[in-house]
Amino acid sequence: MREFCLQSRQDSVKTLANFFFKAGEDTSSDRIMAILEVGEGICFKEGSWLSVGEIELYPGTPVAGDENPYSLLERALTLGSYDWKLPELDNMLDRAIKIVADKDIEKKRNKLTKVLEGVAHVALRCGFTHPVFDAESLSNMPFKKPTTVVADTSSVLHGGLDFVVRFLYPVARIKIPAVVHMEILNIADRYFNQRRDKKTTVGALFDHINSQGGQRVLLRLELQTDAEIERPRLGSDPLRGIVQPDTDPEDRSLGLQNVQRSFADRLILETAIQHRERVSSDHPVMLLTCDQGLARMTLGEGMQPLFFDKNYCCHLFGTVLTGTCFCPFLSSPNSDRLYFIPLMDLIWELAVTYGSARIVNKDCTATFEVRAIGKTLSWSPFHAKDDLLWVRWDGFNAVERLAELKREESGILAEPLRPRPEEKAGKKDKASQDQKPLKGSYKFSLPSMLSLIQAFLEKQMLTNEEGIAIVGVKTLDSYEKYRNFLRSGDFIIPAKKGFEKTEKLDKLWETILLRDYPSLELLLAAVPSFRNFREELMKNKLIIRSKVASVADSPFSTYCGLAEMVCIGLQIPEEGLRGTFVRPTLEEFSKIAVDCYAKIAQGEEYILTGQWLEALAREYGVHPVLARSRLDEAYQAGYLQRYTEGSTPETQFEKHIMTYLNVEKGIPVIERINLYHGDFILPDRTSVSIRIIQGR
Amino acid sequence: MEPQFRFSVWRPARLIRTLDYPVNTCGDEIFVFEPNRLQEQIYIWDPGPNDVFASLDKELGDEFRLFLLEKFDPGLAPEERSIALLGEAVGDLNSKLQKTMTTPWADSQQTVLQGQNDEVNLRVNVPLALLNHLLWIAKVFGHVPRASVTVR
Repeated sequence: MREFCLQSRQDSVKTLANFFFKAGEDTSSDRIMAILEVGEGICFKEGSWLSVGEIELYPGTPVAGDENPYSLLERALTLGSYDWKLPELDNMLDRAIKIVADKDIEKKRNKLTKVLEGVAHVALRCGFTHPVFDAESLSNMPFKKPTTVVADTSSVLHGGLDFVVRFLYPVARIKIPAVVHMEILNIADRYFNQRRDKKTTVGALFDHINSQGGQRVLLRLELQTDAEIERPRLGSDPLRGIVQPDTDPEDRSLGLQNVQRSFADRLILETAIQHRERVSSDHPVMLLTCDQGLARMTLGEGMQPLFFDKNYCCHLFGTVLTGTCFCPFLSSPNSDRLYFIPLMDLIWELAVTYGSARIVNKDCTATFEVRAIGKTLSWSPFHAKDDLLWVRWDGFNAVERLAELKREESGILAEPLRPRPEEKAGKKDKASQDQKPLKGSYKFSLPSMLSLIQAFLEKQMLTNEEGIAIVGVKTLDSYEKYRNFLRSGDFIIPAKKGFEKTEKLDKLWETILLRDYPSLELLLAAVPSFRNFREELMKNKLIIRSKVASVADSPFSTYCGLAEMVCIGLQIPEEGLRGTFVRPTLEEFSKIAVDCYAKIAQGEEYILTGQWLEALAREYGVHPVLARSRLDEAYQAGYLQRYTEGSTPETQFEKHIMTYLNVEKGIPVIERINLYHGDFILPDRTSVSIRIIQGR
Repeated sequence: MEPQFRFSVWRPARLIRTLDYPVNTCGDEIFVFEPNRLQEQIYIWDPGPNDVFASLDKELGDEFRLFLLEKFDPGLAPEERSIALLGEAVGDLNSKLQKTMTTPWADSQQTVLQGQNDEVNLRVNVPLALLNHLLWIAKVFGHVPRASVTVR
């Protein structure tokens, strides 16, 4: 077994991909199975692990552009392509009774059951399923107007707060009273006292999962999400004084220095009531809880609880959960319906909650272990900021694989992990391959292509190894996509030790620097695949990914990016790539601009700028870059008056992104512009909304 | 792409004021307005452009279709498509799905950006994700008096 080392969730993807590569070696099935287990340093007998279910990873089939078999596994791990089969609660209980080091374990079955329910709480917090909310509360979700949600401790532990952040934020404003932090800290203190005294009771185990799980939720929301958590002003928690040390014997005899559970509940409600007094009367304030007593008290005080039933979690045992799930609400007809949970998120959550978690293959010959707490393991604030945990593994060659990747990065190509079809059939003559005319379509990154072109201009000639290093890929296969695209347009030609540039490449670079879009379009049309794509777009006006004929499915996004870059197309989510070949005169544009505005506005004064730009592309075939310059010219010439307004961009349009060629300090750069963010049409002014009227 | 179906949960409407409409004098039939039969929609959802049946074998696909499109047909009376039926049907389909030998994982229509310029289709086990989602709905609204479901 290796020594523990610190890794973030993202860093562990490669190691986990190696684990699953090993786990899948002996299977011909399309799924790779592994067992997920948790451990606890003190309360579990030494070396004991508790199974919390089986993971079945579905890597799918390779797509063009996959550099090696690991790419497939990495994608499946990151994008939630797995099922998680939870064991039956009774089976888990039987196993737990055998491994928990409490002498009176048989008498504490109920408490132990609660400890095991922590696994279901982890599932809820990660988002595999949702809390069972009060039916009336759910029927009012997602909230239509800003609502303050005050969370109590139970909602932090049982997944309610995660749900609000995931699906109701930012319309829901989240407020966490200091008492919640204090309660969780008290549980943590209690746990560490028991840990120091070596009390291996079920109570200590219960405190462990609640304190560490709770603290992780609060830290995760603060450090790993965009959610803004509001806090009451320092010292403003009502009744605060009553729990501070006091020499008054009468107060002492009441024992109020110890925070009682019901008293903490009252403090949370008081915080919510105090907040309600500060906001306007029509601003709803709700208390998020799964505690029936607190929910009743909240109703009794004239406030609406956001109640969910924590008992539902028992139904999750014995079921199969999946890593890619449906969103519970329809925020708009075109909004994303699916969201995914990377497998690392689940392993990290279990590791922090129980102390450690590991994943093992069926025959227990390979393990990947993650530990959050341990005798010799340190903790620092930066661990929390980067979500670093202690990781070690055994039984598979992650180290060799990492070294291999390093060798590849330094230009020394490793043997491909899976033989390519032509290699199976016998290697063809390299020289004859290089001379062959190229008709395929190629998937590549546009910024890396610019770097490669620049390198060809600087060095005149590049070897394959140099090219691989410049575009930052790991295999020759991936680099060939870049090289063959340039070769198919005669921008480079084969040379003795690699490929050398032609004069055409100089012209291409010149047009890129000048952002001379028509010339750039014509030069790129020398590449057969781009020429065919352009012709298909010109003919059909719209290309949909599933129906594209001129290029393969995988490089479709590359060619869309190229079309946007040379201003002959605009991708509109849910529609496809719209052709934008129309080049109107100033007068024609002025008419189009006003007509298009009036159609969308329908009597409203301001419309979304992105909506206007997309409508110009969709209905009039005018590209946003041309629309921007024409609008400015028409304004200067007095044909049009334009007024803009800045506001917070609407999150539903986050996918409306256009590839844009810019030149910064003499160097071309590829930018991704969101047309709805309002910083495109007038760069020095926020213009999320626009109003256009006829000039003179 | 239009969603394959739209799923709604209803309950008897809670009217703040009495509602009525004038008797239809143009047609032959005279409708008697019964305010207590009015239903209000309390939840709506659809799977978007994702094909729910594509990754299932024919037999199971037919069962899903029957369950979704016939058992909760809006033409049925609310009592015949009660929310309780949803929980039962989901449980039944879930156990059948676990026994199937085919892999229901497939590419969805939704893409995610990986790296600078690479869009990949999100893979999903649509039947399982759908059943888990419907099970959650059945739990949330299961005890709402006289709640019913329509799939259209």
